[in-house]
Order: sequence, then C-alpha cells, then structure tokens
Amino acid sequence: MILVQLIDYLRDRLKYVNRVCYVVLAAVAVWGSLVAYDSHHAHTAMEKWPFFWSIFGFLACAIIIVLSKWYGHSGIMTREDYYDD
Amino acid sequence: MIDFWMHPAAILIVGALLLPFMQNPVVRRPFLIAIPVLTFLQVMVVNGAPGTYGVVSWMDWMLTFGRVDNLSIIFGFIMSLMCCVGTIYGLHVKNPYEHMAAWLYVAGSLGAIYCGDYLVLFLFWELMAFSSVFLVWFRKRKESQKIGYRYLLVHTAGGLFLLAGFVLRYHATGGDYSFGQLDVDHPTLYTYLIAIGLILNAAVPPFHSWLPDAYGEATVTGSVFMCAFTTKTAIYAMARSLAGFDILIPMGVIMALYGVVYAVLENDARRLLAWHIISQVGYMVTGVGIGTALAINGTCAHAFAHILYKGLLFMGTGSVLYMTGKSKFTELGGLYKKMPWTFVFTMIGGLSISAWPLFSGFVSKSMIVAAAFGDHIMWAGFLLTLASAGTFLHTGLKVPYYIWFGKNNCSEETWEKAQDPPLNMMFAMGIASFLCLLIGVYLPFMYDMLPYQWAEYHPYTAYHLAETLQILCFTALGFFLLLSKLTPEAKISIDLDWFYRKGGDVFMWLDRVVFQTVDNWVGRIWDKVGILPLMTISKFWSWFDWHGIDGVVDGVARGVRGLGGQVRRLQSGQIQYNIYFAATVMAVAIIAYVFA
Amino acid sequence: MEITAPTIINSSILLWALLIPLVGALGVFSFGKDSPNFREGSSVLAAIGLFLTILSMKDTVLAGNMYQWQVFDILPGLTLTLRADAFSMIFALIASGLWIAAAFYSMGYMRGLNEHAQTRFNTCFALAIFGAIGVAFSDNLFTMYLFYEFVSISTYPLVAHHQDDEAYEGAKKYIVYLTTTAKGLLLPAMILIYVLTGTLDFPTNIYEGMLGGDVQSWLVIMLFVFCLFGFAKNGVMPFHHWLPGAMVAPTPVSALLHAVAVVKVGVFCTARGFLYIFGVDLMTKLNLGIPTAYFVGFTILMASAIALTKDNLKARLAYSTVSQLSYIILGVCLLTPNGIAGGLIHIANHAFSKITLFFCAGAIYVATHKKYISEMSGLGRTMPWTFGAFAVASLSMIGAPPVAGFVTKWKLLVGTIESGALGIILILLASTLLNVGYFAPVTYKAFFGKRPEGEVETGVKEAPLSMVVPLCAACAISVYIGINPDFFMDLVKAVIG
Repeated sequence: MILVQLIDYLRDRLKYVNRVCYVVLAAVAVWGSLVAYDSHHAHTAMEKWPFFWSIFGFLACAIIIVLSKWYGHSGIMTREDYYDD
Repeated sequence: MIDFWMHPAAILIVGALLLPFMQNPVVRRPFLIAIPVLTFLQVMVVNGAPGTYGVVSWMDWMLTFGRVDNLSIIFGFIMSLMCCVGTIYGLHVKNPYEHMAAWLYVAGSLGAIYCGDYLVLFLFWELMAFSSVFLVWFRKRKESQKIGYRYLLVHTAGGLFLLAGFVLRYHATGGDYSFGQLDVDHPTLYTYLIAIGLILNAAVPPFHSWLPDAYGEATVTGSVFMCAFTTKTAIYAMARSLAGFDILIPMGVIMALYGVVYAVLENDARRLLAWHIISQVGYMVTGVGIGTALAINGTCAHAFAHILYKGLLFMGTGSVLYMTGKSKFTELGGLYKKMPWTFVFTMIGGLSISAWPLFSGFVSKSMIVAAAFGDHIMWAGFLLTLASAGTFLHTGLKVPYYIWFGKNNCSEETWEKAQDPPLNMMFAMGIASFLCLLIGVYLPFMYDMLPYQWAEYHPYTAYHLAETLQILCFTALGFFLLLSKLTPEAKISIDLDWFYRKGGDVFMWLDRVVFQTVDNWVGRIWDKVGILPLMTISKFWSWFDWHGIDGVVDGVARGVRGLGGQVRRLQSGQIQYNIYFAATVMAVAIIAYVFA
Repeated sequence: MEITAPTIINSSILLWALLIPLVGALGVFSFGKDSPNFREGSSVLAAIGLFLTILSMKDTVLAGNMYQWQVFDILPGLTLTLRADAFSMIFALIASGLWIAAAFYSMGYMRGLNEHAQTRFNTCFALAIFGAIGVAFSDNLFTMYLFYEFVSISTYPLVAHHQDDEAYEGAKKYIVYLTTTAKGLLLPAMILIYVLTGTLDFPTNIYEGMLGGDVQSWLVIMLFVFCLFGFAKNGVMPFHHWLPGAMVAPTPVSALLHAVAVVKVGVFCTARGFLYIFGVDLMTKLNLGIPTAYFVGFTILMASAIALTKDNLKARLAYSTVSQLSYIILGVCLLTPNGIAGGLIHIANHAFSKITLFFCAGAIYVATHKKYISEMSGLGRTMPWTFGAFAVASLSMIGAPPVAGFVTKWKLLVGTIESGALGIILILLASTLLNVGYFAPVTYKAFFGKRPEGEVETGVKEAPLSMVVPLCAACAISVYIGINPDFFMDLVKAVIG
C-alpha cells in the first residue's frame, strides 16, 4: 500500500530526509527567535533571548533521558520477576 | 421535579443488565451500538436543560442525582462520547460480561458527574471501582487476579478516605452533604481527607502506583475504558470541590514530571502510556490547584482532549497487543509494514498528546500552562513545558519508533500474526483520530462547552506556535541524537507500590504466623480450662434449680457435668427425646394456661 | 431527653406467636420420616404463620404501643413475662422472616445430601426459633435468660448432627463456651441485679436503665463486664471460639442459627442489657461506652484478620460473623442516636447478607462437595447465580452502596463522630479494607480462576432450586433494604425515641 511504499521510499533516502530536517530545524529556530523578539506574549525576559525555546527543548529532552536513566540504573530498575517469589 | 428526568447512566445500567440476554449475533451488535449512542443522545438532551433534577429522599436525606451545570455538561458529553468509541472498539468481544463491566463503569462515571451530593458521589465512586476491576480480571492471566485484587484494595482505601472526609464534613458543618466547592483557603482535616480520596483516583503521587499496575494489565478494550474514566472523573470532582487548593500546584507539577521519568524506564508500551496518563493528569491537577477561570477551563479542555487521544493511543497499542499478543518494546519493532493504519492512528494520538499545532493537545494543554504563567507561577509554567517535551519524547517518538520502526525484535510468530486489526477497531480509532483533529482545528467544537465562557483564550498566536514548534523540533533532535541511550531494557522499575506489596506480604505473614497461632492457642486453652469452671458452676448452681430454672435448662446443666466423654451417650439418640418431651410439656402448659 | 412512654396493650398474641414454632416442632416430630413432605410442610407453615403473626404486630408497635403478657409470677419482681416493643420487633421479624427462607433451603440441603436424622434436625430447628423469638419477646432479664439457655440447648443436637469426632468436638466447645459464660457470669449478674433493685423488669426506653443512681459504680462496671461476656453468643473475643467450632453443623444451621438466630440472640441480649439494664444515661455517666467500643473494635479487626487466613469457606464466614457482630455492639456503645441506630440496623443488614453467604456456601457444598476456597477456583462459571449472590452479599458486608451494609457504615461513622471518638473511625475503615481483602478473592477466584487439575469445564450446573431461590431472595432483600432502609429503620427510630 501507498503508505508503506512512502515510508520505504523515505527510509531509502535517509540522508536527504535528515538534511531536510536540519533545514527545518534551523528555520524554526530562527523564525521562533524573530517572533519572540517583539512579542508581548512572552512571559519572562529570558524568553526573548535568541533560540531560547530551541535550547530549552533540546536540553529538556537530554535532561529527561539522562537523569531518568541515571535514576533507573541507581537500583530502581530490576529484574522482571522481582515480585514473583 | 414533577417531570420525569431520565438519568443517562440509567440507560447504560439497564442495557448492561440486558446484555447477557442479547447473545444472538443478529441482535448483539446493534444492541451494543444502540445503548451507548442512546446514552450519548440522552446526555445531549440532559445537557440542553441545566438545572437540578432527580431528587430522591433516602432515610433522612435528599439525594440529588441530576445536577446539570456548566461543569457537568462538558464532562458528561465527553464521557458518553468515549463510551460510544470504546464500545465500538470492543465490538468483537464476545463475552457479554466484559461489556457489562465497562458500561457499569461508565455509568458510575456519569453518575458521579451529574450527582449533587457526596452520598450519591460515593455510591457511583464505588460502582466505578467495583466494576472497573473486572476489566483487569477479564484479561484472565494469572497475574491479572492479583493485580485486580491490589487495584480493588487501593480503591477501597481511597473510597474510605473520601467517606471519612464526607462524614467529618457532614458533622462539622451541621449536616451539609452537598457536593460543592470546599473552603480550600482554610483547610481542615476533612478537606485533606476528601482531597486524598480524590487525588488517589486521580493517581497523584504518592497514590499513583495502582494506575500503571492495572492499566498495563487490563484487557485490550478494558484499558481503553479505564484510561478515560477513573482519573478524569476524579479531575471533575476535584475541579468541583478543590479549585484553588494551592498544594495541588506542586503536586501536579511533580506528577507531570514523575510520569515522564518512569516512562523513560518503561519497557511495556501500555504501561508507558499509563505513566503518561499520570504525567498528563498532572497538568489537570495543576490547573485545579491554580483554580482561576482560565485554569479550570484548561483543566476541562485538557481532560476532554486527553480522553480522546489517550483512548486512541491505548486503542493503537491495544491493537498491537490484540493482533500479536505482545506489548513490550523488547518483543516488537519494525511493524510499519504489517500494521500501517494502526501506526497512522497511533501517530495522530501521539501528535495530539504532544500538543502539535492542529492537534487537540495544542489547544488544551497550553491553556493550563498559560494560566500558570498568567498567575505568575513561573516555575510551574516552565516545568510543565519541560514535561511536555518529555511527552513528545515518549508518546510521539519512543512508542511509534520502537513498535513500528527501530530494531525488529519480533519473534517469527509475532511477525506472522501482525496485521491491521478488525474493521470495528479501525473504525473506532478513525473516529477518535477525527475528533482529535477536529478539536485542534475547529476550536468552537470544544471551547463552546467550557465552563467559564468569559475567560477567553486564543491558542493560535504566532508566539505560541513558534514556542511549541521550537520545543518539539528540538526534542525530536535530542531523541535521535540520544537514541542509543533509550534502547528499551527488559526490566521493571520499582515504584512506591513496593511498600504495599511488600507490606501486604509482611501483614499476611504476621496474620498467619502470629494472629492465627495465638487465636488457636486461646481456643485450645479454653477447651481444656473451660471445662473446669463449667463443672464447678453446674455443681454450684444445682441448688438454684428450685429457684425457677426449669426442667429443661436444669437437666442439661446437670447433664453437661459429665462432659468428659459422656457427651456421646447424651447425644446419641436421647437428647432429642428429652427436648421433645420438654417442649410438649411446655406447649401443653401454655395451652392450658391460655384457656384456663 | 423527654420520651413518651408507650401505651401498654395486654394481649395473648405474644403467647400465640410463641406457640407457633412449638406446634411446628411438634408437627415435624409427629410426621417424622415416614411422611417427609408433611414434615417439611409443617416447618414451612409454622415459619410463614410466625412471620405473619409478628408482622401483624408491627404497625401497632410503631404507633407507640407495647404488647405485654405476664405468664407466671414467681416472686415479686421475678416473673415470666413477654413483651413486644420496637426493639423486639426488629429481631423477631428478622428471625421469623428468614426462617421461611431457611425452611425451604434446609429441605433442599438435607435431601440433596441425603442426611440422616432429618426429623431431629427439623424439630430442633423449630425449637431454636422458639427460643430466639422468646428472647426477642422477653420482658425481663429472667425470662430472657431462660430463653437464652433454651437456645443453647436446642441447638446443641444441631451442631453435633453429624455425630462424628469432629462434630462432637465442635459441639462440646459450643456447649462449654455458651453455658459456662451464661452460668458463670449471667446468673450471678442476674441475682445481683435482683438483690440491688428488687426487680428484673426492663424499662420501656433505652435511657433510664434499671439500676438507678445509688448503685456503686464499681458494681455497675462489674455487672457491665458480666453482661458483655456473659452473653457469649455475641462472639466478642476471647469467647468467640465456639462459633468457628460450630461450623461443623450442616450449613442451614450455620446459616440461620449461626449467622442469624443464635448469634443475634447474643447481640440482642447484649444490646438489651446495655440499653435497658444500664441505660444510655448511666453508661454515659460512667463513661462505659467508648472504652467498650474500642474493646470490641479489637474483635472487629482481629477476627477480620484471622478470616483472611482461613481457606475453609465456612470458617472464613464464621470469623467474618464474629467481626460483624461486634459492629452491632460497637454501635450501641457509641451511645449516640446515630451510633445506636447503626448498631441496631446492622442486626437486620448483617442477617440478610450473612445468611445469603452461608446459603451460598451450602449450595456449593451440595452441588460439588467442596468446602475450601482454593478448590472453588473457576466454580463461578458453573454456579453463576450462587457466586453472583455471594458477590453482592459480600458488597453488603464490605459496606458498599447501595447494598444494605452501607446504611450501617454510614450511620456508624456519623455516630462515631458524634461521640467524638475518632479512633473508632480508623477501626471501621481498616475493617472495611480487611473485608474486601477476604471477600474479594472468593469471587474473583471463582469467576476467573483456573479449574483445579483434572476437572473439566461443565456448563451451568447449580444446586437444587429450593436452595438457589432462597439464597437469591435473601440477596435481593439485602439490596432492597439498602435502597429502601425504612422498613427496619422505622423500628430503630422507635427504639431510640
């Protein structure tokens, strides 16, 4: 079916897809910074810093993954039959 | 009320009771569709005329079953709508009792939403707990029984907190049992008890462990129902009674993050979604805590949107489970070739929960965040935004990636079985997907039902779009860069349920080894020692015979003196004659007396 | 508190009512095993007749009247006198009403199992009811004591019915516990009260009591303790072992007698003693209520905890009964209107729900010869009506609305708060949790468990209709009196005044 074909098509050209994605990312970041610069919608002054929300998004993701995994590996994650005995 | 007022839940209850008699395949499916649709239509009728209906007297109280106002209208609408979607999704399920449990569960939810006092609330609250547990048991695995048992105990405990709170309040206020806003600025013991009862059902940490426990184990259809009703009914009750309760703001924010952290560690797709219920309900709890008109609007809107997209997500992962029998990431992967439509629908759910523009979460979640910023609770606003990055990370990226793409961990058997699910499941997912988009695109559909119409909110501003797109896009970047760290592990994560699971074991040990043994010993001692006083007493009191202890009593008092082994002789044959004659004598005496 | 004294009606209807079960017993004995249909017929007829007679008195009593009839006069202040006030009516209605259900049920049970000595069984059954009704209709402590003892003795052959080692062991325990406590504690208490006051007649309201103000408080406390433990049929720990021991009896006995008639005789007498001998006023003055409530609270929790460990279904139900009986005493000891109401209404609520549970246990035994919960895994699919009724009655025991038990729980909670003893709330709530803990597994294992090794799924195969119908009826009443509690609540209100 078409959907599967489309996905396969894109997967075969992963390099190009990635490039497009990077361009989109850059565009979003720049546009976002421009919008924020003269918006009365911003809640705090730091939101007017360039790329504020982009950095926020990236750091949020990284922090969540790293901290959670650290927490999990500190003894919280355990074997699946832990409660079975 | 003179006019007859039909409670929407009544249709469901009657329908549920008739279900076992509707097993003829010709009747079954139309009936399964008709009842939820009728309920939905009745909700529309009821919502059309706000007011107070269905007042019934019970003992010393007037119970209100039908309070239709701005808050109950929106929740009644979405609950009955979800009931239609969920029933269609489960249309293929042959077991009438599973449908019955689901409908009674929804009836409980609707009853709680339209009720006007705490007694009726408690009635329906318990109905929800006792019917929903069957949705876990119907999974029929060995673990299901224990998990359902735990679920039931936890919810009973929650109900008891609630009940204790109601009763204390009833006494403290001199007989007020109406279900309304509590004085949250001056909380007393009963405020906290009621709050605990409610937040337990809303799965606020530390009272949350039941949720991933049960929702990961419920049947495929069951979890679609469960993910919608219990927590959101609790949110409704909180919005009604605890709006503006400050302590809920930090609790809600912690909750939103807590769910995200455990979702990172989770290997089971449905349990991961369950953790994200906790995370998403955290927004709503925060909204209730803020308590402004915009925040309550946001809470209602987010509950509304959440019911649909979370239902959709559970339907998607449920389809995978239904078709392949698997729900763990370490046993799935690469399924886009086999289940493309399920992928599309789940993706729509994932984008909705992640609050992508044009999807439902975008217009609802941001309202709560905006309310937090608007109330100058900056830390809450930022942390909730952080949590929403986590939401996209898991539900929008991790779930689709590790089920439909990623490394193919499927066994040959799983791969063979995988394909898009039956038509009714696809159709239900289609409806839910459509609604998710409709909410995001056509704002009045949901916004017109919000309780405080004067508190306006416009989600589609350039700044909001720019902010959201930046966060989401760069979260995605982070996901792909850190993909190696996210590889699922076949582990479980210890959570606060450790305390009651291990505590339960300890209690049972105590019970068996200590209490029971002591009880047995007390019994044995008395068996030996008790004979002595009995013999002494019967000797001692024999002089009392003449005093009026009649022949029957006395005879046995003397008879038991020789208990040491003569009981058998006493027993074998004679005693009934003794009693018979004694009774005859008594009867004759009474008759003679009456006619004398 | 100003209470209007009831108008006393001297009427022999009380005697006639008492005569009915006696005649029933005679009928049963006379027909014997040669004509079993007539034999059981006389049980059923007597049950229906008794119930209708008592029902006919209800409205008169509710209108503020009290029936009274003196039978013998032994000494001044020491008479054999009957009375029917609102409090009597609660118990008499329940005992006689459920006798009807039990009469049908035991017919199914005894015939289904082909039991021996059915004539003796039915005779003693009727006699036990005679004793229970007599207790309900007692106008003074002396009369009550006589009937109380009569119940012990008439039920003894029922407990020992199987005539094997286990049955004799249980029956011995039964008679040792019940008669020791009665003769060792009650009899001295009765004599003491007679000496102190010169009468044993109960007053007509629950407030003033018999003892008056001039009795020394240590004496009152001693009498109070005698009264609490003397009526050991109330199952208060540590004198509760007779009840699990008595579970060796055939199930109809456990159902009607050890869930309704006998144990309720115990709590009825205890409540009658507390409220009418001592009275609310004196108990409040000496602060006897709340400590006793905590004391029986221990029984509530401990019996529930032990029930959790029992695999034998009847033993689990027996410990549940021990626990639930103390709810009634706890309610009375709260000494507040709602507390007393909660306790007294629980006499009814517990009766209907617990008899359902025991009926279910018996039906399971007749249909499958299974006694242990672990063997009942998957049985709910074979006996859906029985286990369905069991589930609903469990909900009542748990106190979930709208089933009857919730009325009790709500009233008791309100009463507790009125009394100010907030610790009791914790006991009530913890007990609810334990109730869920030991009832839920029975239901979910039955419906969702795997059949034991070597058993195959059969279709629906219930016990005989004469058992299933009464158990469903009792279950339906449990639900009905939860939704519409007024039938018994009116009487309870009349007691409280």
